Amino acid sequence: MSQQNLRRIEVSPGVHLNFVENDRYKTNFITFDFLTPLNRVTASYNTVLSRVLTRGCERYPSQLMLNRALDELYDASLSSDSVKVGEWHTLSVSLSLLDNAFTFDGQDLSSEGLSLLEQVIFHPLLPSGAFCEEYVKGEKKQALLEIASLVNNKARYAKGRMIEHMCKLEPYSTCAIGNRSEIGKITAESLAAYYKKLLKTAQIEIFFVGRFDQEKVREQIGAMLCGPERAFEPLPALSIRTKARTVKEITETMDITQANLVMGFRTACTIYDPSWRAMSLYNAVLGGSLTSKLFCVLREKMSLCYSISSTPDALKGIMSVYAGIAPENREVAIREALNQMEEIRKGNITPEELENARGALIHSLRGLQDNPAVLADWYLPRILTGNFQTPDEIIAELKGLTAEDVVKVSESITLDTVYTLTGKEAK
Amino acid sequence: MRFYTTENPHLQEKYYRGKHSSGLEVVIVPKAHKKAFALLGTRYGSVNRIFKTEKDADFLTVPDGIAHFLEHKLFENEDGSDTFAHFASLGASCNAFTSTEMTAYLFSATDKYYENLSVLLNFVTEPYFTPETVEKEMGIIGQEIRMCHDEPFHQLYYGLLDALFVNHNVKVDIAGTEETISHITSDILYRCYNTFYNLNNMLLVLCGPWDKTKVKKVLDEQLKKSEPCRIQTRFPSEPKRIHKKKVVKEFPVGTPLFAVGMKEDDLKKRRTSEQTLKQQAQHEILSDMLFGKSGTLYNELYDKGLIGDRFSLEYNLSESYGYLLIFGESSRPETVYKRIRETVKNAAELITPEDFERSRKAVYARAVQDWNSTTEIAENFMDFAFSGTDMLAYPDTVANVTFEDIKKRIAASYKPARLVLSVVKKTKEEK
Repeated sequence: MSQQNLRRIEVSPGVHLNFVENDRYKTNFITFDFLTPLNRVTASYNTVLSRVLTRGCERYPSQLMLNRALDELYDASLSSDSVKVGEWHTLSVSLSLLDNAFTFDGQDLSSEGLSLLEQVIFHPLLPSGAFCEEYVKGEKKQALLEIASLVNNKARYAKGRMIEHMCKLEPYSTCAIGNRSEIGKITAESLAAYYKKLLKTAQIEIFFVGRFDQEKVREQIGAMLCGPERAFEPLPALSIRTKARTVKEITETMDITQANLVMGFRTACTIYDPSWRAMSLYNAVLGGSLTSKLFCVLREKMSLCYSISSTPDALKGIMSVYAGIAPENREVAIREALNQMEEIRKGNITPEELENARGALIHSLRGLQDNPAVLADWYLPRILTGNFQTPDEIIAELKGLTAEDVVKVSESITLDTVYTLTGKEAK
Repeated sequence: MRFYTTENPHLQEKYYRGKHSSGLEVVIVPKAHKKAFALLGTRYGSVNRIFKTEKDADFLTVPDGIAHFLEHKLFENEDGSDTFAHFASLGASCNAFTSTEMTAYLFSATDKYYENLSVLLNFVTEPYFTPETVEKEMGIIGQEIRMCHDEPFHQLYYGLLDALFVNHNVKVDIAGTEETISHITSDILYRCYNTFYNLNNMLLVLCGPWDKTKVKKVLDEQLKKSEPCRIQTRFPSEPKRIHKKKVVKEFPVGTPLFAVGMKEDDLKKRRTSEQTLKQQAQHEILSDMLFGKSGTLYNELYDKGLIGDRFSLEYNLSESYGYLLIFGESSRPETVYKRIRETVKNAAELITPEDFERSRKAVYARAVQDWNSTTEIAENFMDFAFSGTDMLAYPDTVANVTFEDIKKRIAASYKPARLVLSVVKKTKEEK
């Protein structure tokens, strides 16, 4: 599938264009990722900045004018976000656009869309050198509300709390949205200073997924980036703790009927390790698919839960196991989850389990091209870690793995934290 | 079997539609994507609570949540084998869902398309339940029900439906409750299955690099003929008026969530498919003009800090009901509601031809973007088909809406008396 191949071009120190060609979509996708180290300050600033940038710019000073300009581009959708990528953080500004072929009037949406992104990112509203007070105040409030609303999704909230406890002294515990008190300290001036520094020093990854005239894009981008001189600051190395010391047990309560159990493990394995592919296969065997051991035993055999899954983090060397259970079944669920991990360690993996897990991973790699935004998200951590394998090459590698490879990676996994969010009566 | 082709040249899309000798209707939407998608659906959802066929003497009332329960149970096989594993061994992944008006089973595959299709047709057409397997499912679905119960958005949504509808079955939770599902037995499951899983009541939508001849061969091998049968579902009559003006619930949430609903006043009996699409398109354009992110109301509320960026619009129209939904988060839901109410009341004076042109273009672009992924296409196609309409005709329907149509739509549907408010806010004892 040559459509998924990446063409990467350096335009200035720490700034790259990444083209992923694909002509199967009705839409094309552009995203600018600004990467910083992860800590409470950068996460808070990236969040507020990502929001303020999409409130208005010099050419379209209000959200109303900006949204109307987007409508003129056939409902182009502009979004900005701030997310964790391992122990790094990214501020992203993206645009999803209809392909030129489907307009009524042959409008050049790709080129006009890129110009609009240029306005939003490089020509923000900076009256007298600082951001607009009103926008900064409003978006700080929105960011705080976003933090408060994390509690709405109980499973996601419980997973976040587990990480906060497990990685307490590591940058990884930082909430992607940032921190209340750090957000509180941001001013229109400090945000402008942060913005200028970001343009100058951050690693910038720009993705174009879909159909683009690459030469035209290069010219447009070149003109865009000719502004302030760059003083690129490379990202710090990731900190990996390979082993858990003791097992932490934490239970918190809320007015809910279901218990959300999250177990955190140290895996001693990241995308940098040659054994990473085996770790992803291990996860698929354990809890990453609908034929996994956790799904088949805890859900289908024991009727303990509806949702159950395990997820590894490729950049941090940790894995979490989640189950939504009745509060009284907490002990049995923990025991059985650990038991299934022990089974793998002992080598009890049937050929069907292994093949089904492998098949699930291959299937999801092959399906990546179905969504342009997903494809860009998929490439980002790989690019950052210097891993340029295509999905096809990864599939070939997966096909060569054996049950022994899976058993081998399982040996270094240790339990670090058991977190439960449960009902008030249950505690 | 003969396939009829329908094309939309500007969109560069087409589909083939035909009826297999077994009674099953089949749609193929050809796409060059590597990921092939298949969706097998039946016109059976949570609203079908009281029903009979012409062969049954009496109507049967079934426990709430049974359509969804049946969906779970069809994954069970008589030989004890696991349906998920069948698909996984063929490199595919499968799933299913139940809504108010349909139950559907699906898979996506990047390889071995036709073997996977055989597995899909086979497991859905071969039910197997025993009292033991039914009992086992209670625990799993019980946890699913609790998960939804703890989900503030779920509470908001059902609060809204309760406010809108006096009797309509659409307000009943699709999954039922732990109590209602405890009355489900294998006998009732078989009765539901034999009524609604008649192939004449079902539709198969395939999207991706499918080949008509190979599809037909799999259907010939896998399907036995279903005798056509007439299913009668009894619905309680629903008055035009709303049920409650406001429903407020308390749950652990951050910012309060609100949903404003407007019950559709314009429900003509026996609408044509064209009329249904037009009504849908007019509502989408109109709500975008008045409440969309490029409209003045949204920006006024946002600039005042009364709402956040989580704000969305939705219009649902089915044969026996319809409603417009506006969702969002606000620390002052009543104030937002008041402004929405005023906007509905004054809609005719607020709209301009410029707003209309802008929103029409935006809604059109969204209708084109729905043709991006095989998954979305198949799911949306079935939604359209089950409401008797054609997804391929929708972008053109949107493009052909006029400003005059919008004025008439306001007169027919925008009634302040049909508005309701649902709120989910923080539990009191919490800070």
